Amino acid sequence: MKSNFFKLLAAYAPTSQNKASYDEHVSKYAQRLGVDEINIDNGLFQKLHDAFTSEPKPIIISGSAGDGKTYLLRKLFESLSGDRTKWSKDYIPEVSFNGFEVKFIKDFTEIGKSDKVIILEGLYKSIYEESKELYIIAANDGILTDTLREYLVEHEHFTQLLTVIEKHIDDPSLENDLLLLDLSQTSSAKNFELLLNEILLQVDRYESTCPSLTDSEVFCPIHSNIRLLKKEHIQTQLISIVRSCDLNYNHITLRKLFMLIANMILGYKGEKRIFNSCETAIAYFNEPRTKSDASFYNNIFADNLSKSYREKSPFKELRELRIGYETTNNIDNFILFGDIQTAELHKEELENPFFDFKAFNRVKESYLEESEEETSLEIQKNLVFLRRHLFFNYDGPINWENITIDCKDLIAYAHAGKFYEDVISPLKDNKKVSKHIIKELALGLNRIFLGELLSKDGSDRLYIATSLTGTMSKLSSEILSSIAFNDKHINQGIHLRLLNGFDKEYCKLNLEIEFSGDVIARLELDLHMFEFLERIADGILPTSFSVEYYERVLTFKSQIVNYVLKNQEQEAVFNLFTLDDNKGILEFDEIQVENDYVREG
Amino acid sequence: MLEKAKILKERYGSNISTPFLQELMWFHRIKTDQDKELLTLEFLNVCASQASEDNLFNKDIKAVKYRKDMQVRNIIYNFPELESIARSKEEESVKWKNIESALLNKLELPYTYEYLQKRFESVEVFYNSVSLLRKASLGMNTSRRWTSKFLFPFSFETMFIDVDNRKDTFSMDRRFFSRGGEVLYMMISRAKNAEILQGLMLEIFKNSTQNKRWDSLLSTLRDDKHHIYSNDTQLGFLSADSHSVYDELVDDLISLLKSDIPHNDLFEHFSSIASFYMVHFILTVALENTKLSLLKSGEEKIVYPVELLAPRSDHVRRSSRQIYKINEDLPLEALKKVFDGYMSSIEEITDKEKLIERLDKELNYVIDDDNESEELNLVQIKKDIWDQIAKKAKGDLLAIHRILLKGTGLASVKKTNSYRYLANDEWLKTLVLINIESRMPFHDFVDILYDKYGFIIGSKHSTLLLETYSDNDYNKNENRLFERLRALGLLESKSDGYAYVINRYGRK
Repeated sequence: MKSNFFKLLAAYAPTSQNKASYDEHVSKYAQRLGVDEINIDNGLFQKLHDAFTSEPKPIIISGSAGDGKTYLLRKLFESLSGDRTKWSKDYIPEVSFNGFEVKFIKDFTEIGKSDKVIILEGLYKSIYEESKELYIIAANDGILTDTLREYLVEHEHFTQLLTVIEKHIDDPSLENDLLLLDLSQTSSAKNFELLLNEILLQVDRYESTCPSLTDSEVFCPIHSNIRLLKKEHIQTQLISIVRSCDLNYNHITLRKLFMLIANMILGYKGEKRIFNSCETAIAYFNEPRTKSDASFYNNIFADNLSKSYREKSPFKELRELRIGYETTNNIDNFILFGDIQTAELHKEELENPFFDFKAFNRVKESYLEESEEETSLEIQKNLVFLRRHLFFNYDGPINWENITIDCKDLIAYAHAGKFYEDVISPLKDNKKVSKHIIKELALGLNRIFLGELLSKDGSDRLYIATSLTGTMSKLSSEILSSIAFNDKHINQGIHLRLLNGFDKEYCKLNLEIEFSGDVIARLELDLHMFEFLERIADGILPTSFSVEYYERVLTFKSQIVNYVLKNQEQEAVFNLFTLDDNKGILEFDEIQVENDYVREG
Repeated sequence: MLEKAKILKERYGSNISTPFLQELMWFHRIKTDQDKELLTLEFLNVCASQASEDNLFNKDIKAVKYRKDMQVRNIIYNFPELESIARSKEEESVKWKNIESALLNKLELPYTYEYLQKRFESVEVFYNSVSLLRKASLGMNTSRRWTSKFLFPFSFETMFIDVDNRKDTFSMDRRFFSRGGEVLYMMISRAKNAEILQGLMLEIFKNSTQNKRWDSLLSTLRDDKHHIYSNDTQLGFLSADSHSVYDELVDDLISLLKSDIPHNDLFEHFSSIASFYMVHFILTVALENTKLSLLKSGEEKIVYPVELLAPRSDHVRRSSRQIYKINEDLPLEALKKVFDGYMSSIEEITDKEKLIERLDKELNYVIDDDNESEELNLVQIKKDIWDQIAKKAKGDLLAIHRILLKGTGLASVKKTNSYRYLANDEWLKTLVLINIESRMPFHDFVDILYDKYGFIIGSKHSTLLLETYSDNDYNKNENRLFERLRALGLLESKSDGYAYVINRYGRK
């Protein structure tokens, strides 16, 4: 069989000749190359199909460009009509189903202006007038809502339609009136996992003639990457970092995932940036070159691409994880000096096909013996690479002498694992989140609300604190109220509330404050916010991690204060506090004014 | 415009020694020591005074009685010895005596302080209460004299006016309250929707329960019921009887006061909005006279290219810096044009006496006529008047652009050596608060910023400028606004093209 799969994969890679932007192009190109298209089944189609066939209703499939809207629509059409030819011929393909005329709008953006009104009118009627004409629309939600807004002047009744669509976008679990599947609110991590494995399968199928597979002397960077990517523990790490993006609501579209994986496997830091066959890759490295320049460790962060790629999805989000740059002294000591006492462990943990230890030792020697700028840069480059290696190959803690090396120190989100395993997963299983996590989050909130380094013991309730002259001030003087979270109070507390999407893998999390039985404020608890609060609970200063998230928490506090001010009887009392610096607990000082007399409360 | 010279001369002629033009075109007056906080404080003082007589925003009332409240201020701001007295090991009764005598010696005013002992449980409670009030004051970290320190404007009851610190008189002083707040008050009174604002202001500053406790605490410090107000004082002067900028200002303030936020948080936003409009008014009036449009369409609109902090210099920064300078100098251009027009209109007058009279009546320019010659040297006179007008304008009208917009969070030298329009987070938050009820598509928000305020953020609006600037740089700037709003939690974006700017507080 001719080895053509990498050519197809290269078409997805981030180069100027990206041939895979559109569904139809890919099919033709794959046919020409004699390989199968790369498709994944993330279960969404089945779910969509089942939902529609059990209760036909209008469907909007929305999402960003490259999310695979049209693909899902085509599959639904094919399964309802059984006809594969009509799809590409018809402007608006139609199917009869259970007494409904079902019309498929392949891409709402491409529809002419007058037709758009007809479609929106039809959609309106199918929701509000029980018409027998149903629309299934692939549309970017922004364009769809903008269009509706544009027509509001002439078609006032579209307000209702706009509101219902916006509501569905906000809450993807809604299924009344219409079905809105927002592909931006689906799990990129799951798609990544499926896609990676599909690609690895096809590699085995179509690309089995590479000489490196039979001759260990031959270095093929592509197959070296493939070998690593097949390892389970490496996949676990990869999925976890894509999940980190999901948990920060940085959705990576399917097309970007194709691009990412293609670049991971085929990328190299050289003129063409992408290999499209093993021959060229092997030939390239027959010259003396730095092998790590073609490693997925670096390619996943677009080190092989131009700067503009690094500033865009998916690379931007992944680079923000700072893998290769986050480290500790212990980790770097292990990399630099671990070979002295524990040569075997050092070799076992750091050896990989892209790394030349002889060259590294030479650089290391000169780095340790002289302070030339050039060697310093060189050693940095090596350190970045090896830290990435440690991160991606992480398979449990490394015990080095009396030190433990953990992968959480190698990524910007030290608490990402905890967030997923101890917060998201239990909530998905309808279980409670452990009390100590709520307590840690409350400690983080308390330290921000008070502007003081309250101790763990002092954080026995959430203090609604504010300055005397404004709620956004970073230092507070007064406690307006407090919220118990430790006791079994029925009507107050700190709750973590999970919002599920159409795709069960996807979710959003809010931290809610309940007071007098009402939810009075919500804080969006993405991974970054979780990390922020946890780190503050660990003792860092808020501004040293994220000024913006500090602002968000202050806004959150201000909403709570506002509620208290509006709903609690305001007496002529000033409940002032100071922090006992030694014990880290609050001391209170109350001033009461009554009938022109001031006394201690 | 010149017809107002008569009013101005009658009311302020004795105080104003320079030629009038600036006042006639805009107002009398604002000085550079009045930053946004002081501007708003002075404004609220006028409001407090008028509200106490049920005249809030009554545009016909021209006089005001300010609250001086010297007895209370003597205790809060002029009594640094209190701490050492309170901390001393003396008997409680001795401490009270020491407090009374110390306070008594401070002012040559007929105040006594025995009542304090009866009203406070202990010296410690008294000391804590005074400390609390000091903590809730503005300007405590400045080197301003004690008579220029103020309590946070919790309500109309907690305002007082700036006075000089001579022991006996404590007369009104215009160093920090240079009448900018009075002008602001007049602008607001003359707006279409002033009545709606009036209701909201009273609700918040007069009838609100959120800050009643401060009024109570303050009144326990005071037993002077009669001497707390100044005599009637003339309000400043504002030329235009109505103006679209007044209306826009008030509409934005209405949106602000309808926001569902704690009352004490309003002050910061209020002063930013007021400061912006103060400058916007100065520039708009200037442009009405110069008619120097920066737009291809020729539309007379003040524009501000607003940078969202860029990593390095680009076309946005350049255009912002250039137009900043053009705007800053615009009032001077306007003065020049009006002045030249005026001077050429009187060129024909040959009668010396008549000329002297007109210059005095219309421009408040008095010619020292000890010259025996028949002819006046009009060229010299023109130069002399212009020099005075220009000098004055450069001293306050031009500089206030920088002072107030810096306070607003719209002007900065960050990362450069010259001023330009650069929006900070606080200003963005204010803009979201007043322009968005609950949410708005991001692109509509960008459009509103241009339509309402003339803020140019993205290429859609930068291309309207006469000069050509890089679209790419402006697109990146718009992107930075997007990312900044998102980082601050003010924007939600689900997919490309679907992004909403969010007002998390909403409206009442």
